[in-house]
Amino acid sequence: MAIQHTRFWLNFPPQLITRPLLWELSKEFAVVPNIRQASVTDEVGIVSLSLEGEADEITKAIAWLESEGVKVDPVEMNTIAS
Amino acid sequence: MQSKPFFSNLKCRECGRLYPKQAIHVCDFDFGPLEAAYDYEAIGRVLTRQRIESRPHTMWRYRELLPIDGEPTVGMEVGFTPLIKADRLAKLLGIRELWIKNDTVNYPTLSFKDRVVSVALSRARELGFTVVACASTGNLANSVAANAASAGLKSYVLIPADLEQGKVLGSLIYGTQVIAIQGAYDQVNRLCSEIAGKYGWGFVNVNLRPYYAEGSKSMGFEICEQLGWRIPQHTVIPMASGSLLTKIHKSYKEFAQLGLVENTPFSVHGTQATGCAPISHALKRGTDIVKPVPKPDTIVKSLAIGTPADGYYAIHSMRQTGGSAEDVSDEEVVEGIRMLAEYAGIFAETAGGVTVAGAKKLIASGHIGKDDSAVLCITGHGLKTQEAIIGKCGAPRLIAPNIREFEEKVYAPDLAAAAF
Ligand SMILES: Cc1ncc(COP(=O)(O)O)c(C=O)c1O
Ligand SMILES: [Zn+2]
Repeated sequence: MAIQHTRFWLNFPPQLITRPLLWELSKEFAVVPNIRQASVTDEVGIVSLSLEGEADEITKAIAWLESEGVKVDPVEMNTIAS
Repeated sequence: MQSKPFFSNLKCRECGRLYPKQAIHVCDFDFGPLEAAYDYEAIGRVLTRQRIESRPHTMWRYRELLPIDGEPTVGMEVGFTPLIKADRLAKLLGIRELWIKNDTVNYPTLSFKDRVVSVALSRARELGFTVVACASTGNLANSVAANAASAGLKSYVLIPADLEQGKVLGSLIYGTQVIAIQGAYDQVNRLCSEIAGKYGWGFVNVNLRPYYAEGSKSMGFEICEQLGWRIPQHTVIPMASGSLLTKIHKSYKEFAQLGLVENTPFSVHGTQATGCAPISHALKRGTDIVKPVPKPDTIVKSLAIGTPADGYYAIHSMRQTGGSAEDVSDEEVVEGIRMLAEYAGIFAETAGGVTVAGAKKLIASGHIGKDDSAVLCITGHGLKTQEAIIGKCGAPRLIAPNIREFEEKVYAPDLAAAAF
């Protein structure tokens, strides 16, 4: 399977901000995370992330992030308009 | 024909890096959104009020300020909808002067989305796309399907599988390929993003978004021209992604910069439904961090975007112009729809109810001065969201087919009521 780059916005709730989730992600899955921008307040952490890897691994990595409580949106945020 | 390229580049809103005018939408460095940039000096040399006034009554009379290279080829009849002075509604809402920008009668699909789609598809053709697409639950899908049909472009419309029949029909009728995707909203959203990047299609609100979004400026240009070449003191705008609001702000700035209108102070105000009001809530909290709404809960489906892509920029537009935001309950939305219909003769969809009800609150709270003048942007037709008001605007009075019944049940009681 071909390697692909996929770009996301991650939204971390306050209780997850201090956890090294992206480090855990790269240990757990065959993906290379690359942070392009981040802003963290005491309310929320927003990270723009590019993930490189096989499509299946990326899908699994996202499912894992979501199961840990991170909100994952594609770079466009909403592709579905009204 | 244009000889100079008035539309020069795409530009990152975050870092200002310039990009070529291709089907790309985010900055490679910081994921910031790309926006159309223009050579205003060149435009200033050719674009005058007289020149604009000499052209057909469509949104394309401002074409130097829209991001295509040549002449438009899709949606040439879109725009220049009526701007109506609504004196009875003004009185009801308690403001000196009120105008309605009536995009419920936009051509051809009765919402402001025809503006953005006509730019996106005209640009799609210039870029050589033969297949165009969108992911949508309503207005955008209708507009892409209709405009693509008339232009002879193949179109795909992706929808969540649980969408109501009525909405699906409004796209199917145009012969578009409607693909229903099963799954939770987030999964459907991500799949659409993946599809948009993969097949070389012109996805109007994804890889063509910088072009698409600029189409909304035409609503602001028209408002200025129709007011007699001036910027309105207040403009009240419904927000989903927040794009329309930021683009109306941009349109006023551009007209002022080009000297087409005087640079008078103005405020843009945004309205949302309380059941999905991430932008309004952030502005009211005094922050520009927009907290996602995971499960929108409102009858206003056309504004129910929980992660608004332009929320941050909309907040800055409102702050910079001294504007404010308000959100309204579903009951207030229905009341807003009824007020607009009964006092201005316009039947709007739920987003229109949000705007009218929001304006009412902003006037009552003094965010819009009662001695001021305001324009309300009414963006879609009421026939599209009938389910929101069925059973909420009365019922016919039933009588037997004889004149005595009419006298007894209608004429006499009405006469008595009128006497008081
Ligand atoms: C009828 C109507 N009004 C207003 C909007 C707001 O659009 P925006 O996403 O530009 O804020 C939409 C968007 O989908 C809409 O359908
Ligand atoms: Zn950038």
